[in-house]
Amino acid sequence: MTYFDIILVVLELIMCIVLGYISRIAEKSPSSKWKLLYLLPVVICLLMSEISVIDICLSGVYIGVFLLASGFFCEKRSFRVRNSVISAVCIIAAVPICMFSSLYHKEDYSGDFQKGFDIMKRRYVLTEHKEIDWDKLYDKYMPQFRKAEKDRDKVENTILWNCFCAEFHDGHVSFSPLKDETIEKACSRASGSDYGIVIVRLSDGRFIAADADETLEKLGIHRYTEIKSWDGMPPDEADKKSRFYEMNSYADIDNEKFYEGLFCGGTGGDSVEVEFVNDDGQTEKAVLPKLEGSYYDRAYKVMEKIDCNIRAGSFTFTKMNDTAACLRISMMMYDTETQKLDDEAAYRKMKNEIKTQVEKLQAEGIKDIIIDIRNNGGGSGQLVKAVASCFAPEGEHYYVTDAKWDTEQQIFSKDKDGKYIPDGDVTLKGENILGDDGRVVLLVNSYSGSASDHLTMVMREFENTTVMGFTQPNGSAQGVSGIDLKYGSLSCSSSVMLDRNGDIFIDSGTERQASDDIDIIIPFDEKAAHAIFDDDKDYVMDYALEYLK
Amino acid sequence: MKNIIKAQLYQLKSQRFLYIAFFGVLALSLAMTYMIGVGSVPPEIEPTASFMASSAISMIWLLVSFFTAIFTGYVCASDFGDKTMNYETMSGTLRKQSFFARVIITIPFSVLFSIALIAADVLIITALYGWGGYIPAKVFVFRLFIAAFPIMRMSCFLVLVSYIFKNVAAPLIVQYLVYILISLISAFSAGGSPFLFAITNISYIGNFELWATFGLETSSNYIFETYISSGDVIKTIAVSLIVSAAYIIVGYSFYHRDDLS
Repeated sequence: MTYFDIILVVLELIMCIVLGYISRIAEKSPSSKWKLLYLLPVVICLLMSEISVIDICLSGVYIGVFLLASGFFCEKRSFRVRNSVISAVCIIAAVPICMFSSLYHKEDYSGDFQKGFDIMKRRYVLTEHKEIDWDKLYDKYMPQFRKAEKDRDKVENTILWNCFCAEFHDGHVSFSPLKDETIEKACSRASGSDYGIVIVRLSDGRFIAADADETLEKLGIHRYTEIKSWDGMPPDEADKKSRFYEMNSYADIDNEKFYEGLFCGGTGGDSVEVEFVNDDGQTEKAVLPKLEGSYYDRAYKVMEKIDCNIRAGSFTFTKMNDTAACLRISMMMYDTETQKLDDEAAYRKMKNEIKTQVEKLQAEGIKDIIIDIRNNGGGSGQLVKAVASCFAPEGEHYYVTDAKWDTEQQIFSKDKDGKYIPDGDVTLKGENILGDDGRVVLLVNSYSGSASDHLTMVMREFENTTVMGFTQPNGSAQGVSGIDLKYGSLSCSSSVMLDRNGDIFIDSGTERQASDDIDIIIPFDEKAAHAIFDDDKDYVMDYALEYLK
Repeated sequence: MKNIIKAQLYQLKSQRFLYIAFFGVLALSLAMTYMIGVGSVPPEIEPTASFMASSAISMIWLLVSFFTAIFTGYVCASDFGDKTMNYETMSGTLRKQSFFARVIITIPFSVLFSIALIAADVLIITALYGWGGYIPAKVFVFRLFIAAFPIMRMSCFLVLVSYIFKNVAAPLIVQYLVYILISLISAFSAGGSPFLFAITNISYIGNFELWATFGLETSSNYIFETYISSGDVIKTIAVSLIVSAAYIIVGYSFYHRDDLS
């Protein structure tokens, strides 16, 4: 029982004793004022319920309070004493009910889903573009949320929200529970058990162990061992048995392919059969027992190595060699002042600072700049415009097209074919601060989303810029809004951004191909794997530096 | 009973104090709507009544609830002060008649005046700034209609308070204390069900969450979320009706055998 409910029970029991005793005094000196004391349990109950919650398991307390309050209507001493005793019994009876009932402090996950679903259905601007079948989603998830509610399973609620959000294949559709630890628990549970292996897919299509537990050494499995099958299936097929796979969403199907094999490592029973290529090149089978701990911890370390091996602060220039420097932008936000104003003028100071620093670097012999926006989840579009204009070749460059807003209907306007109506192109003026000899390399990964997608889309058109990474950027570029719910917050794409043809800007449709494809996909091959896992190198950065040589 | 109702209506018509209270609260709510409304309107858009009223509505309801307290206190408790209630009883009027005559006046008029205050506030702001369409007018009217139920519940509670304390100021003081108590509780707790108190229910019904869509170079478009589940509407109506009945029963039961001292 919660402390507040215990306090409520104790206070009401005290009231039973006090009111039982007072009935004697009230009988001796009758006055309507005594009656009022019998309303006190109701006041206490109301206040305590405001602090805590109304709960069906506390019905005994509520009945007890009602019986005590009945002393207000009937002033007979015997009636009041009898009611005090019965009330006390009812209140005490509520204690074991609260302690053992699964209904105690029942959560309203289905109500929360209903609210989030209804609001999102009205706000989501890519329904037609992605052909979202809302009724089908509702029918699929509502029973599952009801089950989580029945089981009082907070973690399952978070898993379900993430699975629901993943159905949209939109990086802007996401759910954050109230506490960060809940998402960790959800990932741990959904990812499954640890069998000691994390599988990744190399660019030639082979699956290898990116991490292998020492205990598997005796079976002949170690890091870089090629894995042919997991639990009788190719790893990419086995992935689909993982709930962690269902929780993860990739707007661009190319990115989904990059992470193939990563999810299957947590699937299986008490043991799992693995087919692998041994050091002699022979195909062999082994049964891996379940180890202690969750697969998520092991997989997370591998993903961190691949995606987060970045060592620089945001908006800092780092000299990488004699001719190249790196501008790291970890989020599309500069400072609180620019964030507050968020217009073109606000970023003038930032642009001047970038120019000054670039000039200083150029004086030291730097010619090329690597702009690193890996893991940059987005931010201000105005900042994108400012950064892009610094490095863009001179002249006017197209950025994006705003969509027309219907103030009457409070929705984005559509034409008779159901397409959003453009409302003016946004362009930027190139300042070419690097000069004609300078080159720019833009580094991205699958977590470069939203405004980072914008920057990718804009800069890939510049003749002095090459965009590269292991994967495509995220592929989610519409404007976002948040929906506050009881158990977390939901975000979704709710502002329309169009391209110059009036089509949806960047975001993938049913074919799941975002339109901001990059120039160079760096092969994730054995060389890359060795550099990342053995030498702890930032392989993507090294690749970019090699490219600029 | 008819005569008491007539007398009460006559008294109401001739009571300048109530007119002052009504227009005073209206002036305050207009000032509040202006200050909160203009303060919450982003600089890039023109202030309009729908934006200002939606931003300020929770606070306006609070002010209106104080008028309800003044009105209820006046109708139900002022006759205790000059012993009119005692004379009524001595002249053979049944307590049932005396009580329900006042209840019949208090509850519909409280609801009516409360709605009138909000409507007048919104109409004046609309005349000055235009409606603006941030919230469809029918949604606003629907919320006003739903809020009438917790207003009725509040009025019934204040009737009970009036008969217990037999003092014109008691409903206002109790209403203020309830508000302070709820504010204090919400300062350290997430708060219970919005249906527990009339005042929290009204604020829940009157709340419109603000969100915005935007473009890179077009101004933001602000939208008030008008979502409210049918379950919450039904709960508001059902709880209000049941609790109102309970307050009236308790109030009458108290007054019925009260020694009027």
